[in-house]
Amino acid sequence: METYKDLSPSEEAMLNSFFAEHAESIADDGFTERVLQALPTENVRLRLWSRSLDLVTGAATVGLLFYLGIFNRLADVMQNALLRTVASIMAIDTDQLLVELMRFLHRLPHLLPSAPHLIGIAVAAIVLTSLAAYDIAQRRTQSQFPTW
Amino acid sequence: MQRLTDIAFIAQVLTTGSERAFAQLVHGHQEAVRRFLRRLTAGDEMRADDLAQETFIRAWQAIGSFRQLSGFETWLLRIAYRVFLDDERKRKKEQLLQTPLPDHLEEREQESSSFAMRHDLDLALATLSEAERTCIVLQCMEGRSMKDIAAITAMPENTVKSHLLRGKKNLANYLKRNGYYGNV
Repeated sequence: METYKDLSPSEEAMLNSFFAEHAESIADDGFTERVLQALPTENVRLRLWSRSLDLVTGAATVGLLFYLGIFNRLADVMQNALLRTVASIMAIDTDQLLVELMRFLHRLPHLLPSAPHLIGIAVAAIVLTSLAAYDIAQRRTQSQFPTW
Repeated sequence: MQRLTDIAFIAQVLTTGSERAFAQLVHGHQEAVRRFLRRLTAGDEMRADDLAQETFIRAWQAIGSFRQLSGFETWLLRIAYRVFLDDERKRKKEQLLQTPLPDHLEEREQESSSFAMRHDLDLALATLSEAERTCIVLQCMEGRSMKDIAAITAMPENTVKSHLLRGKKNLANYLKRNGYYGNV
């Protein structure tokens, strides 16, 4: 197998001279224009508009949820559930557990959000899912290109 | 200075989607990208320009992923190298490359006994392996550092170093065999 030692100074100079003699400059000659004409129609601006629209829709949904009081309602429900769970664990008693379960089931319809609230939750879920799906798709596209 | 100008144009493309700003980037870097691809394609100017165009289109689509950790031109050259490798694979699959020297080079060899300067260069580079040719073009013609070459080709720096050494040695031997001694 051939081994390669460093180039001798004369070889180095010969290569430098060779590449210097063959240095080439390339004029644009309409290349930039051809690239611009070949750019895909789905351009960066369109993607920016799409992303902005997603953000506006997301913000509007969160605003709607606040307006309908869904967050407060959810917080109440979770707080109640947590307090009851803690209380039940602290004084665990089969009879008591059954009573609490019955009481919880009895109150469940009052705790659940009403129809408009459910629509709000459904809209929020759809928007958030589509945002997540869009981001995943974007990352997949971008991962095909070097990022540094 | 070039780096700051690039960043300003990139920011403009990202915020407003400006094709004019992108045109400035293309105009500023077309020479390096096209020259690099011409040498990789052994002087096939049409093919090199097609690949350069594809490079800039991919850059336009992926400009949001440019992170400024390296220069814009290094990023472009990396895309160009990938575009070239994809094209090579496609061509090999289609069995278009059957001979060690590309057809257009052989034609030129038959046309004239005293090759034009650029033909000389491409014939000399055609004697190297693809990896050696890439590393040598990037260092000796584009003036890229070892670190840049490693980033562009996705090879470890030590591998780049050995490709450079082997390639230069082979090239020096080829030039001597063909009676070239330069200004030494």
